[in-house]
Amino acid sequence: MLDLSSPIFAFNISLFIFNFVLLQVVIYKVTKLKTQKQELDKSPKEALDLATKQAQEIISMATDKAKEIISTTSMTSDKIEQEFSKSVDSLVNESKEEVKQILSHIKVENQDVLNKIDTDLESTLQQISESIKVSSEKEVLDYFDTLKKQVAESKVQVSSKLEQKYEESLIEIAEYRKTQIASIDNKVKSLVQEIVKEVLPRVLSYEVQEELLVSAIKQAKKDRVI
Amino acid sequence: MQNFIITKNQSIEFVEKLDKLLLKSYTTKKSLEVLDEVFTEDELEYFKYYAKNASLVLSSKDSVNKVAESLKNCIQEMITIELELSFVPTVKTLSNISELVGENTLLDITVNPQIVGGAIIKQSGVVTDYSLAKQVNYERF
Repeated sequence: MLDLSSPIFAFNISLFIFNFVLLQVVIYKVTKLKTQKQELDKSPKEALDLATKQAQEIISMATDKAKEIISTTSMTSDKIEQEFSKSVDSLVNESKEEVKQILSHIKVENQDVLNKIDTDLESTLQQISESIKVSSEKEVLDYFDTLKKQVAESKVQVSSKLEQKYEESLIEIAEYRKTQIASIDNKVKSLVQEIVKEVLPRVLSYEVQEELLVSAIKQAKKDRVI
Repeated sequence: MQNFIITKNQSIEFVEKLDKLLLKSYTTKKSLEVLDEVFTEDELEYFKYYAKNASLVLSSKDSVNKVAESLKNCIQEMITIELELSFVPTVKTLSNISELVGENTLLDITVNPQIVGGAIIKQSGVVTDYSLAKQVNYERF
C-alpha cells in the first residue's frame, strides 16, 4: 500500500521535482550554448573585414599627418638654427662683457682681499710668533726647571755615591792598613825572634841560664807538671 | 843516693856495674874484693851507704848480691824526667835541679841552644814548654 504520509514518499516527491527543475535548466543552457556557437561561427570574418577597413583608414590618415609634420619641421629647424646662432652670439658677447666686468671687479676685490690677507697674514704671523715666543719661553723655562731638578737629583745621587765610595774606600784602606801593619808586625816579630835567638844565648851568662832553668822547674812543680 | 845518681846515663852505667858485680859473684868466692874491682871509690861508698840505710851488712857474698839486687831494683823503679836545656849543666846545677824535682827521680838531659833559656819538660809523654824561645815567639815586643 502506498503510504502518502510516510517520509519516504515525501522524499521521492521532492527528488522528482528537483530532477524536473534540473532537467529544465539543462535544456535551457544547451539551447543557449547552441545559439552562441552559431554567432561565434559567423563573427570572426565580419570582425576581420571591419578591422582591415579601419586599419587602412588609419594608415592613410597617419601618412598625411606625417607628411605635413615633416614639411613643417624642416622649415622650423632652419629658422631655429639661425635664431639660435644669433642668440648664442649675443649671449657670448654679453657673457664676455660680464666676464670682463666680473674679472675686473674680482681683480679689484682680490687686490683688496690680497691686501687684507697680507695684513691678516702679517698679523697672524705676528700673533703666531708671539704665541711661539710665549710658548717657547714657557717650554724653555719648564725645560730649565726640569734640567735644574735633574741636575739637583744627579748631584744628590752623585754625592751619595761618592760618600758611599768614600766610606768603602776608607774601610778598604783601614783593612789594607791593618793587613799591612799585621804583615810588618809579623816581619818585625820574626826578625826580633831571630835576633833574640841568635844574640841571647851568647849574651846570657851561665848564672842567668841556671836561674832561668830553676825558674822553669819551679813553675813546672807549681803547675804540677812534675 | 839522690846526690849520687842524678841522670839517666848515670843510672844506666851504675846498673851495668851492678850487673857486672852480680856476674862476678858467681865466679869468685871473694865478693868483697870484687866490689873494689867493679866500683870507683865514690860508687863503693854509695853502695855501702845504701846497704847501711837498708840495714844490710856486707859480710858475705850473698849479702853483697842481695844489696846489689835491691839497689838495682831501686834504680830501675826511679821516675825519669826528660829536660831539654839550652846549655850544658854542671854537676852542681844538676844536683840543684835534682833536689828541686825530689827523690827517686832521674834527669834525662838533652841540650838544644834553640830554646834560648829555661827548659822543655817531658814526663810520662806530656811535653810542657818553659823555654825562653817560646816566650819570645808568643809574647809581643
